Amino acid sequence: MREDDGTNGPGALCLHEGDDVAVMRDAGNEGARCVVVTTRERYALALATDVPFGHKVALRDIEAGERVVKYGQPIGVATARIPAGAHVHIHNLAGLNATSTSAETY
Amino acid sequence: MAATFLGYARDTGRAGVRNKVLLLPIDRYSNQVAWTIDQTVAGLSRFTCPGDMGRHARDRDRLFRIMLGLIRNPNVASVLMLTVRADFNYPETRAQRLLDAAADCGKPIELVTIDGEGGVGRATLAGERIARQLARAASAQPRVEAPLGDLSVGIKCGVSDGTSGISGNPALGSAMDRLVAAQGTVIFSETTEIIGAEHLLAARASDEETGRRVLAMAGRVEAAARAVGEDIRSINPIPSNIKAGITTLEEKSLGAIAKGGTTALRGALDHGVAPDAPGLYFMDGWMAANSLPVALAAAGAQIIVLQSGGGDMPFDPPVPVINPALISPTMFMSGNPQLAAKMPVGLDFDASDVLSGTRSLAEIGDALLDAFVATASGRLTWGETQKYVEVQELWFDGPFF
Repeated sequence: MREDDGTNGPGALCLHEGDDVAVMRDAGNEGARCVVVTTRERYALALATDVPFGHKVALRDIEAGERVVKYGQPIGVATARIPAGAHVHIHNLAGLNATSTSAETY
Repeated sequence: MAATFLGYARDTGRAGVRNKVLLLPIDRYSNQVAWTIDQTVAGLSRFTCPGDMGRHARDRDRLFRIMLGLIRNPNVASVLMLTVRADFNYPETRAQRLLDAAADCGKPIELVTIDGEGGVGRATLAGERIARQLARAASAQPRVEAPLGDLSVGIKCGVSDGTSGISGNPALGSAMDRLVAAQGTVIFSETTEIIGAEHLLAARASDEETGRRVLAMAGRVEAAARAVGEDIRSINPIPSNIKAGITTLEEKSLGAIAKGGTTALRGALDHGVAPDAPGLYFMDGWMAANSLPVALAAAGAQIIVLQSGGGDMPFDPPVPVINPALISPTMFMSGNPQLAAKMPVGLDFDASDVLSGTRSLAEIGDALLDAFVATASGRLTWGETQKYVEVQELWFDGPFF
């Protein structure tokens, strides 16, 4: 267990400024205050859903159809609205070219 | 941070970190002879040849390049080559071509032919005698100081998870930046795993041709998947990646390219081909963990590192690939504290302090480079403490006939 830093909740790490998501370094439950550590700040974010260890949490409200940025680059497109603090994974995020090939004919 | 390691000096080129006698059957019939010799003679590293039959000339040439690369690797002190007879194979993989191409290494390469000895039994006995002489001679060579820049590290990813891209891979990248700064060589691969990030990698190329080659390699993988009716994104990320938090191939790839560090990309190598100068390289290759390490060794890497997320691994797992490079030790590392806790034995380097924030990337990079130096100077990897050698499956383009 980490030291009690005043929030005593789960943490999330974001190594690239401007990313839309952070990676959970603990598992977090819905409603928990998650300490988000970025390259320049440290703040609390209320988890909107359960988020497992190593999975991504949204740092802002993301609309369906928006590109989601991690490592400073788009990693996919939101397939549903994702509120800040929610788990981001295959249920609400798809790869950028995930459907492009099926439309092509050979 | 050490500037040297204790290695085995070679007549030409870089020093080795091990002093292996390579038992090299170059056709399938000779595999049995090699196996029998390996049962009775201590201290050999035995290759298993997939054979050249049913393969087109380009794949036969790839087999040649991998066998040649293993001979030339600085970790190899000497070679016992086995074949049915001098002209048994297609011209691409014949013994004489290997002997000619390796002549400038100056290392002892002995050839035993089954026909020349009068059959399998006699060839086995002759091979045993020679192998024992080579093993004894190799054991007499002392380690001497060698510059850090002699090191070439081959990188393999494994069981990527949400921690890989923000913890283990950047930690490894930090160490690799230091190795390149010391005139060392770094080779990473897995063409499938750059898709979605290939444009970023190409932009880091030190020349236009390298950038073009990176894009072409990624394009070939996408096209090959389409040719069998699949989107590469439905093959990769693999199920255990997804369970551990990786959602898209772009995400996996962006995290994956962090493991090579941040230096300029000096070249895009064909599979199993050694670079001719120090620096960071990408090598075209398959993602399979029982295939890539031996090709990285053929490309000259004296140490392989397997950077694993490991989020989906069971408790107290075995090292997921055991001695898969035959002649080059494999270091197993992770930046996932849960894996480190699950693995009381077997983890060569724990980089999870990056995730917890208790050590900086620079500090971890220094510590990791020191771990490479310790391995280079003779400390066994956890994999090397086990005799098991994973069965190799070399990567060929096909089609097969």
